[in-house]
Amino acid sequence: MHTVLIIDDEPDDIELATIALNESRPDIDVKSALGGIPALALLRSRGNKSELILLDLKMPGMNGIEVLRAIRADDRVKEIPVVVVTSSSLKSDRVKAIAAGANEYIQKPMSLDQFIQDLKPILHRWLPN
Amino acid sequence: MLIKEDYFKNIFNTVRNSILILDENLRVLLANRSFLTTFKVDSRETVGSLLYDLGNKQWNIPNLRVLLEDVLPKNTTVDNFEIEHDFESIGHKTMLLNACKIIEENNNHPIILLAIEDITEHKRLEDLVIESEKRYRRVFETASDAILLLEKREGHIVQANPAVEKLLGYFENDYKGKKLQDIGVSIDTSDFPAIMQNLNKEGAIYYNDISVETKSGQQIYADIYMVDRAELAQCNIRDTTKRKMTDESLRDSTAKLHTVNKELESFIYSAAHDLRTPLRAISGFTDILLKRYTGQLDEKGKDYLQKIWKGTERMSSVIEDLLHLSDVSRQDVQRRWVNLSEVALSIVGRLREAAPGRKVDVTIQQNLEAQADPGLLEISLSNLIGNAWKFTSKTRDACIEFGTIEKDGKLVYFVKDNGAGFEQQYVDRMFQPFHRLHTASEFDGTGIGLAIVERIIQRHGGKIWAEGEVGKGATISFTLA
Repeated sequence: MHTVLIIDDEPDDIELATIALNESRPDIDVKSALGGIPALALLRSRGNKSELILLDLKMPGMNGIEVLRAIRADDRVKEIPVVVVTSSSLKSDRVKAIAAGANEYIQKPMSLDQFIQDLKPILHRWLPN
Repeated sequence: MLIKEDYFKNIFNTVRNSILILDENLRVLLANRSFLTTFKVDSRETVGSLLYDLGNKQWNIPNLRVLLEDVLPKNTTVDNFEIEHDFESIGHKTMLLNACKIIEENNNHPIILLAIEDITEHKRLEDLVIESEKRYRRVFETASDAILLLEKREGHIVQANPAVEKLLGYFENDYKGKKLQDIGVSIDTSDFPAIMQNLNKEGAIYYNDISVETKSGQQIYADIYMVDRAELAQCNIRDTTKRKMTDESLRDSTAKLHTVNKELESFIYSAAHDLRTPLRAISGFTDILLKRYTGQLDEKGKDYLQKIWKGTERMSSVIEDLLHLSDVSRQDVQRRWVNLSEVALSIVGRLREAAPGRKVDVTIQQNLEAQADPGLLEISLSNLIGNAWKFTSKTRDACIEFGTIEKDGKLVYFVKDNGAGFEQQYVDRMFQPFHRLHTASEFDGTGIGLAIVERIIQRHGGKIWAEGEVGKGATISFTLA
């Protein structure tokens, strides 16, 4: 089983992403955190087994870029690949995310099918079977 | 006057002025080298001839003759007699003549020494100076700038033009003999010699945005410059108060506009994000219901879910299109050479891939190039060719053409199709956001594509227009500046 951590402040988005991940790969165990601070706490905990992070950018309080920087600054977790999944279509956000250390960047699609399509190659790259 | 002969002859032939020695009958006894050279004559045709017979009687000037004929008998002189005359050999000239009686040593016969100076050039320059002074005076009197003439030692005002009164309210007895500071001009002239030294070195000195207090106590702003006028320094004062106020007002407006634009950009993106989030929930969960719970729904239930799903798709498109429209309005246009034929080909390729079953005859003119923003032009052509593709979807033997024609000396690009067309009377609505000329059931779309294209074309300094006929097709044409 591979563990994927979803960091997003929207419970509905977490649920949709979870469904998309499970439908893409039955060998994925999905964990989630409703924001940056609980996410970092989870990542730094002893039981953390996250192998891939799906990170939202626009979150209240600690935003996605700040979370990303914190992950990359922490030796314990800095190697975990991070895919930014965001509704922002601004090029500047994309640039900021890549500069902060994101491995990939996708826009949150409207349809579940599209989400599954977008996730397949990402999962293949970072969580090979 | 008694003179020694040799001494006289040396001087006579050396001087630059033309000189003739005449007898009492005004016959030429001697002509110096300068006369012969200036009037292009030789000694043989000159010496011995009467003055007024010389050079085809060009010296036969009555006034001169009378003056010269009085020199000997009346012991008079000719002093600075000016004649303007057309001389046969040298053209129109002004000559200055001086003559006096000379008595040769050892000879009691008096003779006349006639000196002739060509002052033609001197007169011309004199006239130019007079004309220049007249022009200067006209400008001085009529200028809208206040002009003051200052003496160069301490900068006291010597003279001023009428504009000083108009602009600053000071009369002659207010400013004459005073300094610039005394008439409200806030320039330090305490070390005027230093200013004059600087003026001499630079040619002109400029002071911008100087505060000036008029006689009535009003504060104005002025640009001031000083130039050298030989004996005096000229100081020009130009009222720039209005311009300064306009500049400041413009700067304020620009700053406000910039702020508003930034706020608008922030608002648009926040709105898009905040609209997309709930929309994603609606569409995502509807999708799940349709896929996983379809067995538990009757036909009506499925139909309603489909409607919800389509509604979310449509709303998503509208949000995307609004963001695009906002983007193209604010993005900088960065021009480069773009091969439009290749862009069009690529777009058609994508359309064919998405609808492999469709047979559409597409003609793209080769090697079409333009200086445009590649990204924005791709969006434009994508919309135009995409529209043509869409509106020919129900046309048998569909044809789409992308090319150029020359019209009124300008290159016009066009996308033409033989599809559904439109009512020409509604053509203006086509380019308005969200206005459609067909129902959603006929052809889908949000109605923003052409608004985006128009905005892009306008940002390039070009124009766009459309021609169509229902059932026959449409042609969208545009120019790029």
